[in-house]
Amino acid sequence: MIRFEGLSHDVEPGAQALCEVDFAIGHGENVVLLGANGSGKSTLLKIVNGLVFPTQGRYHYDGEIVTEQRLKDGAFNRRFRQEVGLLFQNPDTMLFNPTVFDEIAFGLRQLLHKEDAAIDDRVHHWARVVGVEAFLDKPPFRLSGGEKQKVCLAALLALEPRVLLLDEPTASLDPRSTGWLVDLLQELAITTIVTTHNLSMAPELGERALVLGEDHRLLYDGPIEAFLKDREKLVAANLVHSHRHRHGDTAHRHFHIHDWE
Amino acid sequence: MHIPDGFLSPQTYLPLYAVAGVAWAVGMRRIRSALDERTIPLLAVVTALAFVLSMIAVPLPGGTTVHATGIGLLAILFGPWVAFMSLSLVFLMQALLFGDGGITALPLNALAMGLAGSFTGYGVYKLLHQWHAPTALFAGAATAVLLAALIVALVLGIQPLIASRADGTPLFFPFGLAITLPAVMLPHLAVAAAEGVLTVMLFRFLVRFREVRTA
Amino acid sequence: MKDRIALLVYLVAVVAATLVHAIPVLALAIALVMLLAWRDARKIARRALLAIVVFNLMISVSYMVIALIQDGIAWDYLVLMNLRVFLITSMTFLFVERVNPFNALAFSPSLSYLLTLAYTQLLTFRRIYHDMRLALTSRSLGRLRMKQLYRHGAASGSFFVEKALSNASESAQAMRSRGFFNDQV
Repeated sequence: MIRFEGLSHDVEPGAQALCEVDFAIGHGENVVLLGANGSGKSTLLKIVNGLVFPTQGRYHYDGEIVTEQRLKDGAFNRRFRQEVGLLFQNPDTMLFNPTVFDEIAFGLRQLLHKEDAAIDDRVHHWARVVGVEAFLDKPPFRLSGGEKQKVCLAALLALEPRVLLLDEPTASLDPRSTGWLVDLLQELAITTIVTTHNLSMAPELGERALVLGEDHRLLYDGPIEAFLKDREKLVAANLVHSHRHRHGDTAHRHFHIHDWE
Repeated sequence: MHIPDGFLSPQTYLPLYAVAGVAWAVGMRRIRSALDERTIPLLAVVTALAFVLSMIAVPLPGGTTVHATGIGLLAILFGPWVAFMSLSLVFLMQALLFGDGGITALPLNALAMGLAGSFTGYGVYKLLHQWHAPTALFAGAATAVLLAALIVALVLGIQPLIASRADGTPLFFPFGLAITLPAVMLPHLAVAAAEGVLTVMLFRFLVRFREVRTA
Repeated sequence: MKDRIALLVYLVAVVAATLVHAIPVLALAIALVMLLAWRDARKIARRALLAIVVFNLMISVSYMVIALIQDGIAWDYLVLMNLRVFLITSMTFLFVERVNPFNALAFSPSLSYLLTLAYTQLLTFRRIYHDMRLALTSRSLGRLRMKQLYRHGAASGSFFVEKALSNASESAQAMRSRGFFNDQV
């Protein structure tokens, strides 16, 4: 369903974000995208969402090659935008409507073309699912980081996408909301790609791991549990570190991870 | 108003630099006496704000898009002197840092947009806001743009008069006032209206949805 | 210090470029700039050309049309004007490529600090605004109506205004704690 073929991307001449990335993701797979800061995770998601177009290689979505030209076709753009949703890392970049209701309804109003009872129902439904029904008539800007993220999620889910891309979704969530998100993602039977820094959370967010190295190449593509046990690969990806620390009375150093909450 | 360098004569930009220099000195003194140690942090962030506002693009009926200038908004929110200094800094950064050029147009832009635009926009807003706030915002923002455009049109239009060869061939900008005035002012009517609408809407967002108190 | 001198040289060169009205001299100056650019000459020439092509073409063509109707085209004006604009624009791009502007403006520590502070915040704002535009594209199923685009512009702008208002007070506190204002107290 989603396929990258020899894909490289330079953000600017000389500033490479991705290098010869190849992978294929099928319907309903839940993929965790891992990599150190700057390895190209956000850029990869933006390419999958058709916001950035690769300098080399091809991105196939559902059998079609996605290019800037292709997205100029109204019908394809419409279908693509409805089927593939991206939750940006910073929810402030997504919110721009006067009320939470308007925010969730934004996509629906384009899909269903008029102020419908159907829109009203769906907004209430998805607001209830994410837990922001109490805020529907409030401006989204006054909410907490976690609540903003839920509003954004509801806005995306309201279109019932086939693919959901989430950029560091647990970054601004408190522990309870993180648990809620994990449950929600497991309930949704759609294709997901989730990026995270948090290695201990990673296995909850998907079964398969795509790992980008600091050289912007794909370092690993396979079951996530196996990757997390492979110390060599973890070090190569700069996802673990080593420093002197104490266990009780003894001080030593070894590779470990911290839970970056 | 992005005019590449080479269209303004030294008889224009050198004196304008002198005038702008005085205005900057006065502005700095005014702001410092009001804000003291808050001066630099405030100017820095308003400069960043002015820059990002100029990135906002809005459509005009007919299909073209224009960029906001933010002059009126900045003058109304932070006062005309802060707006003037910040806009001047944006022009400086565009010229020397981002390589957008305009080092010779800088004093013209600073005085036309930053000084005249800010003060007029602010003045118009103050005059009208007790009567009807949205109209005051629209008028303030639109006047700022129109006055700045007028000054630029005038300065461009006199280039052939002040800098030509003996036989009358131009050396810099080749068109006189008969051309620059309509050529600049007419499109800017639309730009001013767009800016006015955007400013009214932005204020509404600030006050109603972000609950920011404005001076 | 080197950057400060470079700034002075650049400014003098720009003024000089507007004082000279002989085509051969301007052409020579362009060659000199390209020589100074050396390996970057092609890049700078291309950038300068791209930066001025639209405006200059518009002015040149308009001039030709109007002059044709009136006194006749002064071809040496057209060459002079375009050479001059290309020269100054190339000098500017070369300057930006080679010189650190923060160093160049370091003769005033306040200005230098102000620019650095403004620049870092500006970069953040720019990045966020880019993402805001991308997020809008991401959520738009088709062409958006004017009202929605204005609303997005207003909402985005208001985000930065709010940030600016809160950042200003934070910066002042940080500067005070680092003793920046000690000699002013």
